[in-house]
Amino acid sequence: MSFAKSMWGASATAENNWAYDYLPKLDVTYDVLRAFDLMAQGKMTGYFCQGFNPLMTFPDRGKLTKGLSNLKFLVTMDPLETETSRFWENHGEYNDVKSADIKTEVFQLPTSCFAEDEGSLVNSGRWLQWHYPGQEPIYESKHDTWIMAQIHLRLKKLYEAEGGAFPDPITKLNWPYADPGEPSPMELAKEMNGSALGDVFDPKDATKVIVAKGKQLDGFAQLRDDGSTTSFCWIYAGCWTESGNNMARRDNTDPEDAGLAPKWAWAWPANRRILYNRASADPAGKPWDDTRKLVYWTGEKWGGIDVPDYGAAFKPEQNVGPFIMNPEGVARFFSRKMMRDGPFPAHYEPFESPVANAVAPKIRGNPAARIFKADFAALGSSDKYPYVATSYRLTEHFHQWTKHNRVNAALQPEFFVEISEELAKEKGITKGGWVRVWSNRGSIKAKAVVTKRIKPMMVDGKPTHIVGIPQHWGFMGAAKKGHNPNSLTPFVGDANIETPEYKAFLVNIEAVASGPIA
Amino acid sequence: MANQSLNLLRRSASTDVPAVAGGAQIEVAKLIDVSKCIGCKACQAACLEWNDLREEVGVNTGVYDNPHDLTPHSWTLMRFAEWDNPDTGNMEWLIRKDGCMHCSDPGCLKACPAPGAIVQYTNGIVDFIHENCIGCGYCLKGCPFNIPRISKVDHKAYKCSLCSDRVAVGQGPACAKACPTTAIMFGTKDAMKAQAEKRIVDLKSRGYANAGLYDPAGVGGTHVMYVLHHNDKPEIYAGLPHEPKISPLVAAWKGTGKVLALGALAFAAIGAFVHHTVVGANRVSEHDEENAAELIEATRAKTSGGDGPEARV
Repeated sequence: MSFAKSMWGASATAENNWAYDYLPKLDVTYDVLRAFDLMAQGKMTGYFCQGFNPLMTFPDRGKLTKGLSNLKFLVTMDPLETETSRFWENHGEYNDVKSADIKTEVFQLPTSCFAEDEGSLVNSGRWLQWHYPGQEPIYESKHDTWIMAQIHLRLKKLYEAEGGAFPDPITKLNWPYADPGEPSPMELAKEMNGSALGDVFDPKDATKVIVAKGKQLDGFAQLRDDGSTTSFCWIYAGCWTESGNNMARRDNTDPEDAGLAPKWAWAWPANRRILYNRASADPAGKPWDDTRKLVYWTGEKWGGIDVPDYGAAFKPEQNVGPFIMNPEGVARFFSRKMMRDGPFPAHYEPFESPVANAVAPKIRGNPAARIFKADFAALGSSDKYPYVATSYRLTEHFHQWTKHNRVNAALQPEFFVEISEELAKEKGITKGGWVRVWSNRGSIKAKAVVTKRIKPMMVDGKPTHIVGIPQHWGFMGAAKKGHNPNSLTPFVGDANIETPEYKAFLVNIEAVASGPIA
Repeated sequence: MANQSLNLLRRSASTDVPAVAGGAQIEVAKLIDVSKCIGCKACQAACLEWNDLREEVGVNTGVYDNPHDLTPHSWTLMRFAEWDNPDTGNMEWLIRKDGCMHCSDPGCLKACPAPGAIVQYTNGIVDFIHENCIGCGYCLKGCPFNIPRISKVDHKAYKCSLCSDRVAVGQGPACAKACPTTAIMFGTKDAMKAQAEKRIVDLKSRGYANAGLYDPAGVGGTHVMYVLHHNDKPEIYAGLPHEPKISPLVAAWKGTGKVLALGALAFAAIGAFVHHTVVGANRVSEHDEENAAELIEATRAKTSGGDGPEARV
């Protein structure tokens, strides 16, 4: 309810079921593989690409180019000149497309980079740490918030003028910002936290107002399902309260040297630093280890240096398990319902493998994984592609970003593949020489790094060679133009969250006289 | 300009080193623990950034080393060596951060003929003062570690300064600050030796019987030291010299050579004086004058012709 009030304000009422029908519902998951498959089929015709460079990262680059070429429009929002923004531009062997045949209209919208933005970054410890811009955005680049607000306002105007099948979710979107053209980070953060739309009363005493109308909420416990509160994201309730921006707190006091620093920034939920911290005390509520006590039973309540992840009124003798989000109250070693190939995943070979599945030799890959028909047909087999390839990153680069930086580009300037001395000898490949590597989906050229670090493996009694392919190059930026492993990788995801299978696929390799001609 | 807060101990080609005000400073050192290095090159990036240097974007030659050697821009370089350990049968990836060792007895400074182009501070840092450098390259001949590089742009010699500008204000070098595994540490030489000792004990307990500190006595010890797992074989770390010494040529050039050269110089001066008094000054003969006039005429005729030289090409 609080989320609906945040989205549609006064338009979310009990009468219209709190605007539940305004929310789009997914028929299937729209992961990147499905999105690009729909593009390749011509069924997805517009794409917003914000801070992403799919052309160089998602699998089977040939299919990606086909998909992007089928779009009516592509919008890219990025601080860098991404290859995706330039997918239509011919760069010789590095991007050999016929520009005249591509009808996609591309809108390249330069954005500020994170160091030019104000806002919070959330780390894996769930801390929301506020940061301030180091400088103003350069040239014509704009904050993402400005771009999205401008697109929204223009769309809203069009819907207001022309109507449409169901314009309400857009025309009635709550837009309470001082400058509608650019919501400020402060406004968005306060909205994320949430506030009282009317007086909020104590559930135990209906006459006692705990949050007055218009005030920021202190935490998610104050949220109400009667439309009297608003909060864009309940887990963030508490990040910006009446006492100010808790994410900007910089008191690094660390009681008992526990590594919690509870007054540094703010952690969701409720500034709780360690989840299920009740498990740090024994059933009687006494810390298991006196040198590492997080929460404990004082005799009257739960105290300690962390916010208890437990019912405040639960007495130890009630024997409520510490893992309160699980009905059984204890930790789980496996997930019975939430994994497609659970409870215990079995090992299946990758879809492209030199050996058959040990448990089910007639089945290719993981039977619980999704693979589209055309992509299954594009798989190669080890008779034509005898070598196992894998992709990885290098310490000198971060994804596709740092190749735009002269320093990083100098430290690892040119695309290469790595092979063992044994494979190099077998195929007549010299250290630093050019090679061609190809799979059933594409072909690339690279310099060869011949190394003792890679050794042939014995797989199913057969020596199996490996080709290592790092993934940091492209045809834009300061580094030398180069290819990437995604020209070769198969268009298949893992069984549970559709993460593309970049780590194992089949290729062939040969020495060639010279490199690509750009 | 040498940083004013650093006291000079030595100055190239000079006898007028000012007396140290306030006594000697404590010797500093950078400790590079090769056994903790992951080869990420963050030190190289930090060096380029702090010193505002920009390396060329090169090519891959089949190895991870980039650039392929120290350059006037790259004052430090990760050198990657893949070594098969015959005792264990394991391949060891030995990654050594190459750069100036800041010798206590600096061969570069000894070899340098330009007054004040190379200095050594009392804290041990050996620094190049580029405004005094004449680009002769003798420092490179004097260096037992093959470190300085001459710029093709300004013809001056460049190498690691041990971030003397940062050290002067109580900071460690940029590379040490950037190192994610604390494989690069910085402090007093004594503290770094003590730190190394702890690491060596640890490495020995892990089976590296020859682990040790590389602080070669042949150059009086260094202010950049390595912890090596195989200190008995420094050469396996991309050719780290076994027992580095200043080239005998430098000793000859600054020692007996200097005396002999001074003698030769005196002999030449005396000879010239004798020649002048006996034979007299050189005169231009009439024949020479005629030849010169002809040459000038010929050149004029060539360039004032109907077709310019460009048109004939």
